[in-house]
Amino acid sequence: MAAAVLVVWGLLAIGVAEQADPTIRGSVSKQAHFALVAVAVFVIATLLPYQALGRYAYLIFAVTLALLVTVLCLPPIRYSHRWIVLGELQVQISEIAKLSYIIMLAWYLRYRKNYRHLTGLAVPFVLTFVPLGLILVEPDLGTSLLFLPTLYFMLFMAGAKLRHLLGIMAVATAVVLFPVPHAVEPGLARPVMAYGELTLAGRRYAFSAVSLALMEPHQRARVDGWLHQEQLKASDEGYQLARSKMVIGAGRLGGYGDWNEGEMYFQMLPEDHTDFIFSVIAGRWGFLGCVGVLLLYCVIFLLGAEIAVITYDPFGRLLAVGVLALLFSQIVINIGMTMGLMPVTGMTLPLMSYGGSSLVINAAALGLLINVGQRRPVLLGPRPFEHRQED
Amino acid sequence: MYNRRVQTFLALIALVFLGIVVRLWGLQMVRGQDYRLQIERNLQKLDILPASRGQILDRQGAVLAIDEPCFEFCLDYHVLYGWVPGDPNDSFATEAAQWRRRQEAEWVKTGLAADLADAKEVYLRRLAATWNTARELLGGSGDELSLTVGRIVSRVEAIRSSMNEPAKIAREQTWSHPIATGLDQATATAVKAKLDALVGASVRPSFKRRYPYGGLACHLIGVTGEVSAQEQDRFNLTDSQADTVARLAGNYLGGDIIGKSGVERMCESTLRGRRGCQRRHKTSGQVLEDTPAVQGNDVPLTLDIHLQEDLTRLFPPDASGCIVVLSVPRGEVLAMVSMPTFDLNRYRADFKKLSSDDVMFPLRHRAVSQLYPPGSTIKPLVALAALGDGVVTPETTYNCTGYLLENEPNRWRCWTVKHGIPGHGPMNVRDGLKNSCNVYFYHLGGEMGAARLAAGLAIFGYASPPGTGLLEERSGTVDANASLDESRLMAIGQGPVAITPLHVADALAAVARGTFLSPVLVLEGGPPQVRRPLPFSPVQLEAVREGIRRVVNEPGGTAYKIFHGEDIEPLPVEVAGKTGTATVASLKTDDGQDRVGDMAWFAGYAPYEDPQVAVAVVVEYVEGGAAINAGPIARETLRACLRRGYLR
Repeated sequence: MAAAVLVVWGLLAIGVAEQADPTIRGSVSKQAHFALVAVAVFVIATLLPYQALGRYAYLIFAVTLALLVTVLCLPPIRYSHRWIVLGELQVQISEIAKLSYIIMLAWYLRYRKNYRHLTGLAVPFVLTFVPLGLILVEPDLGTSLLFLPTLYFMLFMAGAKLRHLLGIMAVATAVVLFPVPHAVEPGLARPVMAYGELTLAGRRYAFSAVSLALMEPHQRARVDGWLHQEQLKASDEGYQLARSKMVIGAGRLGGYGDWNEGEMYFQMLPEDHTDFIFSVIAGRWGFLGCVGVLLLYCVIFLLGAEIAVITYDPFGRLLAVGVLALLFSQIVINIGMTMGLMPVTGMTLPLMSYGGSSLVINAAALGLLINVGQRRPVLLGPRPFEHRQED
Repeated sequence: MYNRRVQTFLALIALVFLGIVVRLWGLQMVRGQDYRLQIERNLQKLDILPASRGQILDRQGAVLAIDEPCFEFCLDYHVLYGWVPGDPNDSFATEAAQWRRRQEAEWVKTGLAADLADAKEVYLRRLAATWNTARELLGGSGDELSLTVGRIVSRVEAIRSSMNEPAKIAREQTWSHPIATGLDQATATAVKAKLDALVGASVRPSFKRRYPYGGLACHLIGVTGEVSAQEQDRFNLTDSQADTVARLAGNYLGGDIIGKSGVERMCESTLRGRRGCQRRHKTSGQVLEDTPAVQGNDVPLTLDIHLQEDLTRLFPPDASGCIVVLSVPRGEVLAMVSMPTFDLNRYRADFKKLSSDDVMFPLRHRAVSQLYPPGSTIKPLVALAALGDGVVTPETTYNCTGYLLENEPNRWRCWTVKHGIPGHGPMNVRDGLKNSCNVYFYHLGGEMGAARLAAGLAIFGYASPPGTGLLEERSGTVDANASLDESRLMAIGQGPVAITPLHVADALAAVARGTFLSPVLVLEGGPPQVRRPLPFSPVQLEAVREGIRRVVNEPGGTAYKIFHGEDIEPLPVEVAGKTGTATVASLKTDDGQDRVGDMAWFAGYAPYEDPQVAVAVVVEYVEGGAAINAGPIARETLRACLRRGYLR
């Protein structure tokens, strides 16, 4: 129910954006069609015996990886290898990868305990980094970023030791922040977030974190735009962010109601019907609307958590947790970026943003969640993931 | 265990959502009003209403400079921006792309294009037609167009890179910029008929400066031009000094016209109007705030353009020099001719030729900005200074033997030596002036010394700019620390002394009226007139006036033959004046067109008993001296003044 409300609300918000920008005319009706498909997928996902799905988890994952490799070989669309074109439809493979990854991981972790030891964590991490890496080179930074929090949540729920998880995170952080020298693009006043810089043989080098050094210049610029949101010049990155914040802020308590003005008002925001749909919601329905959206998501999380608790099937539990973790990560990254809490990455707001792949996959994920709730196998052994301390 | 973890997970979600809500509260409830105001500003559009520049009039009300209505062909910045390859990271690239997509969507809606792909074709076709039209209006070759567009784009980009707000689009980027200006009604109508097939183009009314008298008084009237960045820095109010509307009304925006020389520059603040502006709602077009344009004020000059015209004709072709005519009672500039002239209406087109002419310097406003050695025209002033200082009395005589010093007969010679006349004999001040006796004035210069000489000349304004307010004016130079030899030279108007023709006319007017008045060019709103009684007794003044009366009216006077020659129609008024022939170095030019000769002067006033006009004439680089070059021009100048009613 909550999901349905979110989808409809998303349609309304896309409508607002569409009215402002004639070039995306027809988005609402297209999205409505996607919504119908999504409902169908949702129903199918609830009806399939999810345990059977689990048996094919590795196959599904393998096919997904193959698709991810395929998409990299196809000619780029809008400068990135994200989509496979099927007739009129463009399918975003990374969206599919999210779901198949959860299924696979849930299936893998189902009866194991070895992830309670540090060495046992190696395989889940490797399984994570393969799709993550493939998606990263598309490039689709936003989607690839989802895998790590999802993995962490699932491992945590499965009972991996927190000190292991935090330890790995600490080591990873250290590695990510390890300073390496890299060339500074000419014309840049200051290197982005560098620890320091030097000039050698006429070229400028900066010492930056590994992660930054590996980024494309435009990605570094985005990070910079996020870090210096208050002091940007017109030509710099951060234009979208500044506009997004302006639109969100102007929503105030109840939203910006004047429809004629709204037309111009939402014109200022590029990508408003996809990644920045939350800004449109905030602008149109204000603080109350935003809180409403968050509450609806909360309903999904509470129900999902309920399902994750009442089912005793280990695969079902992990699947439920995975779906929730995926949703949560997407929501936080998306909303965070519209408000300047995170750097801008291409990331949809689940169930609300325009985009067929995202909507359908999220619907399928929720369908699986419900599915888990409906089929509760009789428990014969001890409840899963109730590890004793000595394990 | 597991349930605890689920609870932890939920708690984490709640915590993060709470964080989001807190941030939302900050953005929407705390700073919401600011953001809404920012948006409202974005929804509004400021339209500019042009203000015409005031007219420049002569003393009779004849129009010397006028803003005439015309049309200009303008292009939206979105189109101009396409001139340079867009930077994909540029915020305006998004704006320009949206602008284009909106146009295309509109064409699909109105049926002009079948679909969006077709609309793209339509856009490209129209864009090509637009650039073609612009090119045609700018004379066919693309050079002028490239220059114009490049100038506008770099100007606007400079404005934008100086802005400090990330999401802000410069106001200039939402405007249409004039590409071809000064279009007449017929051209404008023809272009307007084509507008439907163009994109981002418009024709709007504008003003064009026209100078009905072409080259007459061109230096004095001056020229206008596009404001420079330095001028903007100097005159514009900053954000902290005035609000947007006030700045928009008064500030110089890129491409604005500003007076560059002459009265156009001097009276810029009077002539320039204040732009009006309309704050309008972008979508509904509703006018939210309306500040009407204030047209510039007219500037009436003391000049008589018809007299100016008469005097301009007195110069032979290819001659260069000046005539200044002042009214004695009030010090008003009645005419001020600098030759050669140029046509103000063709200034921009001819600029290259005019500015590269380093033989005749047609752009130089000689009457106020060219420093000449005054030659013998300085003698009446030196005589008064010496009398005032008590160096001599009107009756003091020096004997002219043709040279000053026995032991150096060839060094300090009187001008007579050249003509085979031995010397003037005993000279007092009256005869010294009448004969322009150099020896007499060598004595004065030598006895006074440079400092007292300079102080004496300063009484006549030679140490400062004349004071009309023209920014081209130059101060006279008189070296107060010069040596004895140089002092002697200065006393005959050579050596380290140089002044402008306006200085000379004004000094003669002061001698005539007994009071120094700075010259006046603008009837209202010019700088305050300086008024100083001359510190000389009536006897001293009378002696000098009598001396220069004799120059013209007594046989043997250096200008007697000019005014009383056999075949010359005598003037019905008595003239007092002084000739002068100043030697200068010849003007060497690269192409061998050297200019050699003297500066021939005549300075005087008339009528002798009741002085009404003072004149100064200088003719550059001539042979034969003042008597045959400057004198006749001065005589005919006075005749023109008679004809025009300035002499009775």
